Amino acid sequence: MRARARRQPDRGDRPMRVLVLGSGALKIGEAGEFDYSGSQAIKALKEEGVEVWLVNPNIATIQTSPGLADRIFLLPVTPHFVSRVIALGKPDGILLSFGGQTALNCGLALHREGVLRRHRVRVLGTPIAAIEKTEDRAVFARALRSIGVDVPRSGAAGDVSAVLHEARRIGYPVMMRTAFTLGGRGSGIARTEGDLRRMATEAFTTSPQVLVEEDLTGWKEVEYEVVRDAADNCITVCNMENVDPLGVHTGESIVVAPSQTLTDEEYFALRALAFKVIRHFGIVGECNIQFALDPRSNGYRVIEVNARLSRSSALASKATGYPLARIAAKLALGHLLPDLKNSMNDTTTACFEPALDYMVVKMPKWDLEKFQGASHFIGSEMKSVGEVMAIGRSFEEALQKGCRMLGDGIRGLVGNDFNIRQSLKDVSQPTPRRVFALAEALSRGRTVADLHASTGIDPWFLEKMKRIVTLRARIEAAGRRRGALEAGLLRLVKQAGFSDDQIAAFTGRTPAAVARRRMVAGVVPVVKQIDTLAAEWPVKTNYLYTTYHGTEDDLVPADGERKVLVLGSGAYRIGSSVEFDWCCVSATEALRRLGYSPIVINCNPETVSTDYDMGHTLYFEELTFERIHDVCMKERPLGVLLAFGGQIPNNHALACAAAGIPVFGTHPQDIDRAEDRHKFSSLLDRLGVPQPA
Amino acid sequence: MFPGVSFGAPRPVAGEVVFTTGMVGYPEALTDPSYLGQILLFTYPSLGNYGVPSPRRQGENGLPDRPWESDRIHASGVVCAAYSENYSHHTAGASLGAWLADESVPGLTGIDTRALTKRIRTHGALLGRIEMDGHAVPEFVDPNERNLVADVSAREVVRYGRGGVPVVLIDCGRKNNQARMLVRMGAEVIVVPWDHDVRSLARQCAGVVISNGPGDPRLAAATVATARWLMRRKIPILGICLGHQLLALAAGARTYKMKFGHRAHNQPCVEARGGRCYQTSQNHGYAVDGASLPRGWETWFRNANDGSNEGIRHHSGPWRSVQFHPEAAPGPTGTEWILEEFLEEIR
Repeated sequence: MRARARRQPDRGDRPMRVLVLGSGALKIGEAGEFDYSGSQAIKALKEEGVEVWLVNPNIATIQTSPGLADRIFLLPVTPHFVSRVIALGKPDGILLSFGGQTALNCGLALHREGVLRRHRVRVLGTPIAAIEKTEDRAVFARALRSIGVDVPRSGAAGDVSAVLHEARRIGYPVMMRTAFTLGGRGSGIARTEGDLRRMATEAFTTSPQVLVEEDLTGWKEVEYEVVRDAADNCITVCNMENVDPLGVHTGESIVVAPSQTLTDEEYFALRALAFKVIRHFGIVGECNIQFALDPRSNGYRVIEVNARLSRSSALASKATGYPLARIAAKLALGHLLPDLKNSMNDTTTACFEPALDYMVVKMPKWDLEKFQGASHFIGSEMKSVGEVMAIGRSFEEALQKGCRMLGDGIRGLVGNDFNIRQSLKDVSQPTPRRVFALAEALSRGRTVADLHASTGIDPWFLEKMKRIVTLRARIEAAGRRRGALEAGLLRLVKQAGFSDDQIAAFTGRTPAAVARRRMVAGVVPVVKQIDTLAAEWPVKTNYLYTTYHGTEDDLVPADGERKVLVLGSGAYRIGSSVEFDWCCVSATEALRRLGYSPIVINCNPETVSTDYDMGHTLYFEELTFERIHDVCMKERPLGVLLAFGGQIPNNHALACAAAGIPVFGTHPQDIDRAEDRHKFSSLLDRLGVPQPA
Repeated sequence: MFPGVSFGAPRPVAGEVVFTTGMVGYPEALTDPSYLGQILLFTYPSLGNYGVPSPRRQGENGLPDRPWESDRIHASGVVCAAYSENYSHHTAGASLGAWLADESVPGLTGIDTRALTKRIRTHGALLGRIEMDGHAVPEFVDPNERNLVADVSAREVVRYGRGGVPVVLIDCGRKNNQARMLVRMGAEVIVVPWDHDVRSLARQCAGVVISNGPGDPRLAAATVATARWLMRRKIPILGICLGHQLLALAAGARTYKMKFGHRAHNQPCVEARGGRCYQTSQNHGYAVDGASLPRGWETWFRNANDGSNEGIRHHSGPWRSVQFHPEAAPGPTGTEWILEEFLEEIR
């Protein structure tokens, strides 16, 4: 029914000084995405003439660099320190939703301790009461049930008969979990009362309590990013579908945006539910809502609501070109969505839902090898340390790009040298390399139906993987024949995301020979813009990607500009993190000051360098030599800066030099001498510098 | 010329080339009669992902279940960047390609749909054709030169949902979801042909809904005349899409052909009173000239992007209309209240 009440925001009541809480040190599950959202929020506040104070002890971030916030406190984001900053500055507003769970928890504590009330600090955006409701699972579930929104049925029990009672209430099969035991021992699915009685009896020998939940194994996991303003205008900026079904944390899953296997009815039914929830809680700003969707019926469950910016919202911003953090900050100040412009074109309204004419695939980056003894199984707990986002005009193209973006010498979905370290017989357990194991299993003849049964991954995704496997076989067969590779087949495999490197390996040629053959055959990528409106309106920004599904570039690169290519650092990993994002952004700023036009290539959605409104041309692309070369062919930069992105760009130094792309700074051969252990060691010997044996 | 690969029916075809930016809902869009005579380009590259349901179930009240918005595909042809041969959904019974082939509709995939969309954006909706090796090249045809409404309208009077508030639905090329929702909201829907003489029915009905439909509204003169007659009798009217344009013509306003129209699931419409903004589902190439509204009429909604008229209502009479689709399907829900309020008022 129509919501008639329209609350006019109090515009005369604009805060003068606002305190922004950052997310502190990077940790698993809380990384560079909050530098991105915090930086955007600070910029949005400054545009409104608001004085911004920031508390964040992380010196490697953009937001703590001079020039953004008016005052920066490199202090822990804890109630103890933040209350002192509040006492000192008497801000009239505070933003809690831009610094992850750390900032949110700190804000809740400040509220409970009465600090905010005492100093008359208003929480801007989503009210504290709403945050509290979404944070407490029991309150949250009760609230949603009260408005007729389904949440997973569950109950706790202290003895066997209570367990059976709960199970009857919920309905079989049920998932039984033991409380207070390590590693989920004794958990499992019970299909009958007999099963459950046996399992529960055993469980109570080690645990005083068990939890009974309805079994949602194999359900799809779908997320919506929702925005609401103070006058109750609502939009969903993006939806995303996890390739892995429920049970794998969304941060651990390959994710595709927009959803691929949802019908119109499902897509908009979940959207309507998302609005119902966000309206009920009274969220003002941005919110992430996660659904489980039954692949066999219209059944759904709301499994989580995050009343703040999250890693998913950073991904959604990059996936759509809609600046979620910026808009959320403006809404917190009382602006209404229809009054704000789409910053892609400055003409259309920000009160709209982006239409994509491409898709993105997010892949998590794990670094489990670096932790001794860490289990390589993944699940409901977050272990990944970073992520990459690949853009393409088919799932195959985006998926293979995403695989390569992970680095570590990965060539794509297929054709990798590494040991998959997963039993091909049992792919039911998710691991960091399962996607490669699935491809290998498919190439050895396992069927899609079979793999779907053991993994729960939707056949649509598996069929696309199978198509990649089939195309590999075709290009291998073509490679065995004499003569040049046929143009039609080359185009087909490039459209499925194969790199020159992969094609070379499959056909017994060199990557350079494959590239030459492609050029002759006219199989080259085109550059397309991300514009939020699927080309319905012209745009001004230079947010770009490349694809083989096209015949025409969107832009004619400007001539006469002094362009310099800056390479980003790719996915965060242990030892390479947000500091390289800071380096990249600082380098592009310096280039602009000197009158150059910077072009950035990067593929990490949790960064500021991949923010399209940073004033540089952005290629959201792989950091492979092939792609660097493609971009150079299109843009003709004066040269490339690769000293600001850590290890990955450095590895391309020699190839760039060999291809005639000038490398600025340290000479490529000197970079190589420092990077190559053998060369470095012999250099030290020659110089007579002692080194460890 | 955009060379691509054929799927669906191997048959050349000509029509008006238009694009939609909706990312889901191809079965609904293709069965929407408003696409009659048009070659429909989907800007979302992967098409066919969840197949199409089969067999068609007759749902409640004798209306086909979703996603069937009519009993056949009305678009002349389908264009996309990357047709997905494989499909997956628990409701799916056939692939999009098989369905197109069944209904003799050709598909074209593997072309640079973004480049073509930008051509249409720059030059306006274009006449085009899907040519095929080994087939005669069809002549270009402009579907808007003839009265398309007559082709898609119901041939006879049909009633759905007996016993509710009686509402006449003038079928200019209606989408089933209009009838489905009205019935669900407690109406008895009496579907009549576009040129039906409603005088005998008028006494029994509480109000009239004029549906969406294809083509130039000025060619459906009979429906405009009906709307005028209804207004003289003070009978409540709700117009949707083409029905909006027809009501505007009946009121004395003007319509015009837009450059390339609105075909999307994300058209933001602001309600003139209150300023509330709704995401709406749209499919139209003609529009009402808001400046031409006669005295007594006011703008109800306007498009937040280009300022075009999206709805009108009369100051004192029970007549109103919207350019967008409050019944959604495909596209966002959230404006069903327009149907609810109408029913509420005529009840």
